[in-house]
Amino acid sequence: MNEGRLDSFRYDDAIVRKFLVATFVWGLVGMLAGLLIGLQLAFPGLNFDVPWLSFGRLRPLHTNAVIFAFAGNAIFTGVYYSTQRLLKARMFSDLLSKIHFWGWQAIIVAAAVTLPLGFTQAKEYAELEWPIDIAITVIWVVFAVNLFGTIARRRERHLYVAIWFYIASVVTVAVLHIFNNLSLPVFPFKSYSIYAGVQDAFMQWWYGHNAVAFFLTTPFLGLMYYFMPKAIGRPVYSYRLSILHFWTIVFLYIWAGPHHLHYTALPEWASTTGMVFSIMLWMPSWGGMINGLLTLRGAWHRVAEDPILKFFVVAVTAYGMATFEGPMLSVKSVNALAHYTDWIIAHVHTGALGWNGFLTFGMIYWLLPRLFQTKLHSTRMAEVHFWLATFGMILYATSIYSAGLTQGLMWRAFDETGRLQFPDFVETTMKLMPMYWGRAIGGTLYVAGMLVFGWNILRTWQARPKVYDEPVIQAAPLPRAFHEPKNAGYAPGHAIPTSAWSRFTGLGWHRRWEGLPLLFTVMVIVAVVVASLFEILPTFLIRSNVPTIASVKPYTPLELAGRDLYIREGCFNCHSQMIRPLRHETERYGEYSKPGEFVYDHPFLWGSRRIGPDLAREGGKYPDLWHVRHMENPRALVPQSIMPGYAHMLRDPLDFPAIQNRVDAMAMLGVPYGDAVRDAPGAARAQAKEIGRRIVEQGGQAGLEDREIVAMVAYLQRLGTDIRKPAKVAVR
Amino acid sequence: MKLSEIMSHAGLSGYAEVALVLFLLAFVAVAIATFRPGASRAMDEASRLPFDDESANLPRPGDPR
Repeated sequence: MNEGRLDSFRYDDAIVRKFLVATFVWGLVGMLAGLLIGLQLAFPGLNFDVPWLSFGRLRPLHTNAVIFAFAGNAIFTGVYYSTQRLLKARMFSDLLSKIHFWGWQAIIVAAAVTLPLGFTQAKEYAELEWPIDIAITVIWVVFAVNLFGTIARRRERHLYVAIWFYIASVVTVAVLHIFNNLSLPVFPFKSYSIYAGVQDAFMQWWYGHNAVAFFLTTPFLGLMYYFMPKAIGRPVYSYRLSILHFWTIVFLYIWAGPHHLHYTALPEWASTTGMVFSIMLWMPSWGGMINGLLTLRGAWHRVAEDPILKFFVVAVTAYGMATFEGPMLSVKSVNALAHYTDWIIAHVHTGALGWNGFLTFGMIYWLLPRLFQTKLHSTRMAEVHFWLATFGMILYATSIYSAGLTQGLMWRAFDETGRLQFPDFVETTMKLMPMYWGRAIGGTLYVAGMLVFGWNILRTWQARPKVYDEPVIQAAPLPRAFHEPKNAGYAPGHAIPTSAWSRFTGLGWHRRWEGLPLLFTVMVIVAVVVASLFEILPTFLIRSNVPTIASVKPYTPLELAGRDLYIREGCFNCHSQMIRPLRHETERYGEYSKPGEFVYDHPFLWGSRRIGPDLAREGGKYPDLWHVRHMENPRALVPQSIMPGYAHMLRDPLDFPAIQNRVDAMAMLGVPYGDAVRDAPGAARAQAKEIGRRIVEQGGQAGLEDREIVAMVAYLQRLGTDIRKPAKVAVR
Repeated sequence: MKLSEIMSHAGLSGYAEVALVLFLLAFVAVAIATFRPGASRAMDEASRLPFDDESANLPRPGDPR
């Protein structure tokens, strides 16, 4: 079979260098966007009254940029470097590698253009509209083919645990992306989710939580299991723990999503399931963290002088803190306080700045001299970067943790007469201002660290050789005809198992799976898909999960147009539409939200953070004119408000003919529009005229009936009013 | 009869306990198999894979000559 022939090949490091530079560039862009929106909360003037610079449109740009552009390119940097070496093979196709790189950067640019323009699906971390979603799918398949092609051509039979994490990430992200983004296109950059209300929320947070799991956790764990041992120069503390870590993470994570929807209109069994699985995640997460830290056994003295190890130690510690806090936040009683507050923002940033950021920095500092084949320009500057980023992160986290606790406690405070102690929402916002400034300073330090990092990368790159040395690697090919013997032990030389039990415990079967990456991949998909189906399907299939309410009717054509404006401006980034059945919430906002109220909401707009008050029962609270004035300049009515102004909505004409497409699409999704389908623009104009008349009556300006603002007012005045109406005809 | 009606009346709640037992068994199986003393040599070998890249052009022990 094998006559001692050795294959000769070279690793493709050019592609790794490309991804590395992209990681830095997009990281800086994404963090600057974050700094800007952080400052906008402390100083609303920074919205500049320019629509595409307002908080609601830039916040998704920040999250998408740091997750998919910064962390995404960091993942690809590490995966392309380590996969080739762990498998002793060049990437499957240089062309696919290049398509992957340029395609991904093009998607990022498309996101950076469309999000500020207000093209959004309104689902967190899945905001990008359908043409970009299709592009993401194509590029992700290119990446998957390239990765699995490399695995097929590998010259090392055993797949190292890092590769397992990569495989799980690639297949799970594909499943999540496709199912959460199923939508009906209305315009070239506008679509409606095929799911509505409770079901849409369930799909979204199944996706949302697993985007954290399989984009920000498992790929980075793979990187940890490769780059930490490399940087330390000794193998991982316990390879056994890493196997257990892998399978428990894959099995448990996929269930945890519903903890984002505690006390909402989601059925309680679902949110309890999510909570229980989240608590179980403590085990593998801490197992993994301890495994990472103990890899440093006997090398702790080197941490003092090696900035790379410092970055890794803080990264793994942050992983431990974030994954301790996550399950704690998933406990309902803790969640009741933390949900909708800055506590969640603080939690996310511990993970993102600490775990993803620091692991990326450590990895890149380790890669720089190897990829650019020279010395790192300055180790001292790396030290400076480390301390700037560490202090920045600590300042950010402490400020924003206090902000979250402060506001959460103020919301639920009652005075001795049994009334809300702070009935005025903006009072709780004002309290946060010093902490928002603290966060801005922390963020600035972190960005300053990035600049030092960039300078170090640039100077190291400048010192590169004229021509990179590409050493020829030789390795024996795997014999094609080889099959892992059914009865073998785990490794050659092990006792041949005799009984079924010893065959099982001999782990030969696991070895066979690893030798058959396709089967291994199928097992991972089974673990992920089965769990998802069992958790999600009941809300679609069992009627009692979403009881209908007879008086709840579809939005009128004008209200629907207003809802799309609400989505365009990103209002859901700061305003929830979900009142929890907690006394302080029903006191403050009104009757708690019911699942049946959202059956026509494609997509759902429950929100996840209350920077401003909840709007679920906004309808009828204020006169139309109040909304017009408030949207034009919030500070004219609420002097301390930090909401951006939307004066452009009083100027820009409403596109009435387009409303027909919106209504048609909704009807296609099963929303019972009835007669409205025939002349939606006509119905919208009639309602707009009525609202325009009311505004004048209340003392406002004339001529607003053909402007965007009337649609917005129509939508806001409708919110949450249906359950107060008598039910005339029962909805089927 | 619609699928949702069939599912609503099928009385599937007991399946949760079945799933719990299956999941627990799978976990115990992986745990036993992984932590069994006999696997330690293979585990050590696997854990050293990241260090195998630079020496890949040297014949490895066991390679046929």
